[in-house]
Amino acid sequence: MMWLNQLFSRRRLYNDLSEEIREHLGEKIEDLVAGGMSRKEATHAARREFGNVRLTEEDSRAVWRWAAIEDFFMDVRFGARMLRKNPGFAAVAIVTLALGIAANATIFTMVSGWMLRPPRIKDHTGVVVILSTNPAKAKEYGWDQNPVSVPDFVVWREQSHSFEDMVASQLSDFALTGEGEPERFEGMRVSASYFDVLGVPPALGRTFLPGEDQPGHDQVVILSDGLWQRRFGSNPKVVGEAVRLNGNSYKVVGIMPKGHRLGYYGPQMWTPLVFPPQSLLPAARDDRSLDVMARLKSGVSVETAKAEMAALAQRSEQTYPGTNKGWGATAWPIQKYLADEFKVAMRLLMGTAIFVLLIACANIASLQLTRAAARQREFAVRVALGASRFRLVRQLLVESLLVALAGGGLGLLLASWGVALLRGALNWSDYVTSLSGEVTLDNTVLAFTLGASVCAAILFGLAPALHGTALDLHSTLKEGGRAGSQSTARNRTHSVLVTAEITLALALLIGAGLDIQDLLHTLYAGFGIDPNQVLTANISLSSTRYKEPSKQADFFKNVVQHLDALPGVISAGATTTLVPSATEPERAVTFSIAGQPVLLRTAREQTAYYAISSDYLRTQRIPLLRGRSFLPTDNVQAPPVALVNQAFVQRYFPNEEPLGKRVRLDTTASDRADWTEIVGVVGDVKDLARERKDMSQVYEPSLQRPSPGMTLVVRTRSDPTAFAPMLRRAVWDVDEDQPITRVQTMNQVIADYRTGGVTVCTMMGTFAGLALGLAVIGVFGVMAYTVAQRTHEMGIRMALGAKRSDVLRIVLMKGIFLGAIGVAIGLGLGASLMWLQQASEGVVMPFDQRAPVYLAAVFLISLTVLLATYVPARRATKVDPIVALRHE
Amino acid sequence: MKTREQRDLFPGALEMMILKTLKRQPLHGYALVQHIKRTSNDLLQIEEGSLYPALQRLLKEELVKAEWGISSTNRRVRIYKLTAAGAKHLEHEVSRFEKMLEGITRVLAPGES
Repeated sequence: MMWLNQLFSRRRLYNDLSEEIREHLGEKIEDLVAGGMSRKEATHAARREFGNVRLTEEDSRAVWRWAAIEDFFMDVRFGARMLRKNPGFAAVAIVTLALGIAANATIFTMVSGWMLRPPRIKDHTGVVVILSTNPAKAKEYGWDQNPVSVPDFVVWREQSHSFEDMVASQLSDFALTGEGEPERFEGMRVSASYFDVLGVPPALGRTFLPGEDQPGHDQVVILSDGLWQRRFGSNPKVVGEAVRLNGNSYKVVGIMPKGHRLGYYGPQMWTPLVFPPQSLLPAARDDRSLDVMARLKSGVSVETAKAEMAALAQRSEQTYPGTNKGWGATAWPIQKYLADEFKVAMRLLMGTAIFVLLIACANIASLQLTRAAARQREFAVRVALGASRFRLVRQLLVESLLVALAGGGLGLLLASWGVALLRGALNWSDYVTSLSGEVTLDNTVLAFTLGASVCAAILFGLAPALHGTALDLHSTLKEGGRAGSQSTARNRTHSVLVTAEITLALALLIGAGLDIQDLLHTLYAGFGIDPNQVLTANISLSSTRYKEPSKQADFFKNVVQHLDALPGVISAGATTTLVPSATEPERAVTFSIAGQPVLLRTAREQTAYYAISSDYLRTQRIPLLRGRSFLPTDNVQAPPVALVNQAFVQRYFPNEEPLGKRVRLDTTASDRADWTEIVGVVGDVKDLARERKDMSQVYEPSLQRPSPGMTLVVRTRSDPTAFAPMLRRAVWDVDEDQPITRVQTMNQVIADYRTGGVTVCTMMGTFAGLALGLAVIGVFGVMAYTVAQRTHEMGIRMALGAKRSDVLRIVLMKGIFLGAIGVAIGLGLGASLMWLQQASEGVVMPFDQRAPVYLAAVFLISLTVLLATYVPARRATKVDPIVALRHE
Repeated sequence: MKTREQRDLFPGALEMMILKTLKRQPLHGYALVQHIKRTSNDLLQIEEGSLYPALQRLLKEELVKAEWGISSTNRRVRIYKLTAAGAKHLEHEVSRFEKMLEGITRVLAPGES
């Protein structure tokens, strides 16, 4: 309890000490006086021999203290007092930092929610995702994570030793009919032990039993909580009942818990995944469409699993070179795999936010520097009283820390508002909406914010602290002392800070500008179609009634005829893939050209592929450039025909007549027997305007190549949205059990397509604006300070005959000089960062299209820097030489 | 401000001298420093103030204790006494110091390297 006693008796201890020292000096003085000195001399001598009284007292007291901690609290108290005494500085610094911190915290909520939070499954570190890899294709697409083929999965599951179990899943659409309107849902077919590998128990009922993924036993279904709630009113009696899926009866065996979701997919129901015999044929190794996961045996590392998968893939490659040449396999920890999707976007946004924080830090550092200059005398006095430089630096750092914590707190408050905005903006698809639920200010974000604040404190506090305390005692303490060398050093630091701000702000402006340019380009560039007054709707024939391709062809032929006959319809058509589309990936197929050597499938060229009804081109207003379009007579009885786009002709028949040439498209697992004749050339339809500018496209008539899934396209005379009920009616006239999904206008399809882009651009734009604002404040502050400092100099100049315009020029020149350096570095930085980002996406827009953005950004920043310099410069010209000199 | 001479005192030297002096007789701070200065023939230039942090350290470790009293010159002074722990500590320190000194002397002795 010794220390407790000390704590309470400390005041007495200190008083004793002071008294003792006083007595000591008194005795000494008396002794010296007795020795014949005058009292005055004796007092001096006594003090000289004793040394620094205050320091002695402080050192003596220090013995009793937990020095580091108590000093720290003393610094905190003193720092808080200094900030209260200077509320203007404190407010500006705190708000500036809060803006920077808020930007970072807001963005980091996404990183935390989407990339750092582990998936909600049992022991996620034991689950890996098995992927097919193909380095050659990776170069083309920019990523190397491919699904697995059925035969590969079956072999790997049997032969691998690293895993307790390996399961596959595949997305699949289900039409739910019976009571109420027919609806179509995204569902997932999964191996029987899928939920066991994930370790997720059902909320109600059971998961699948072993053997339920065998043919004939698979008529069971598990519902998601959402579907159960919406469609079945959360009635627990549903379990055990039968529902009609795709025209067949399925028994509901379980309900998954609320919020069960894994990564990108949000299936509404799960059924067992059965492999039909043809999917097990060697040729099916080419069809890679299974998502595969596995749980590691305990004690087996991911590295071991990776090595085993690579070895297994190599064996497949040697056994089946025709389908597996160049294909490897790997295993990824599931969290890493799920996080990978967000890597690029988060890197971009986080980088941007950090730029804003850096600019904020530069601003505060510059403020601190100015303030440290004003506090030189305070520091000098403290040093004269025995404070060490370390002590002063620590004091200043503690003050910075206080500002940082206050700024961090306020930043969090702003961030909670930013997060609310962000969550509202993340709404452009079901998937994104479900993602927005993960965006919360959780502990990770709080820790990140604290860390960022402390780092910021060191960033904006250290340089000014070191600068401010590098004192020349004599000149500082002398009244009116102008410590020339120091103010030069300070000015240099100011200049560096201003340049850095301009650099960062310009880089951000360029980044945001380029992103916005991309967006505008995608939104408003011609798509090769006329999206106005077009209504679209998705139809997927999943009922067993439409197993026969001819039935599928008949269905769509009927529906299109029905639609065509409706009043107010100009024309109607159907396509397997709608471009540009928000949700459907481009269907790409390999093909061969007659008269050229037929290569292995894996070595063949690829093209985008569409099967369309005869009026589709007319409905979308895709121009026919040469030859003829499809006719209703291009059916199964007629010879097969195809249309190609201009890009296709330019790439494959640059100097030849394309009409009459024949191609063979690999739309089925085995090579077709027949070749298709090109009968016409049509205009390019841009897909992702930027990413696939000259994608080659091939069309075949849907009557010859029927498909169970097509998008209806109707061009109407008036508002297409009002036409939606009529469209539904027309479909249900043909089959009243047929679900219809995604009824939207073509303009909505296009807008949806890049709503994500709009959100990202809004954020980038906000950050760039913030950065610009902060940089302007920074430049203004420094220039104003410089002018104030040089009042004396300006006075002399003007007294010696300098004109006001000369003074204006001197100050402006400094701003322009700093601005020019900042712009030069910023241009380089912005260009290289953008180049890096785009290179990672695999696309680089030609520079001549980018130049205007660079120019605009440079112009904007130059203008603002000039303005921020001009105002203080004007003030410099108002200097009255007499006043300036009298001040001396 | 400290000067070079004081810095040359090794850590613990001042404490050792204080303990030794107090072993002879209890003293107050001023008398203590005068005694040390006088006994060392003013060879050791001790800044008087440096005595007090050292005394506080000894107090804290309970090697000495202090009581207010009246000096011979009729001043209110704080008189320091050696405690039993202090006496033991002194013995230990002195023997350690002597060993160190012997070692240094041997190394410095002429003609023996």
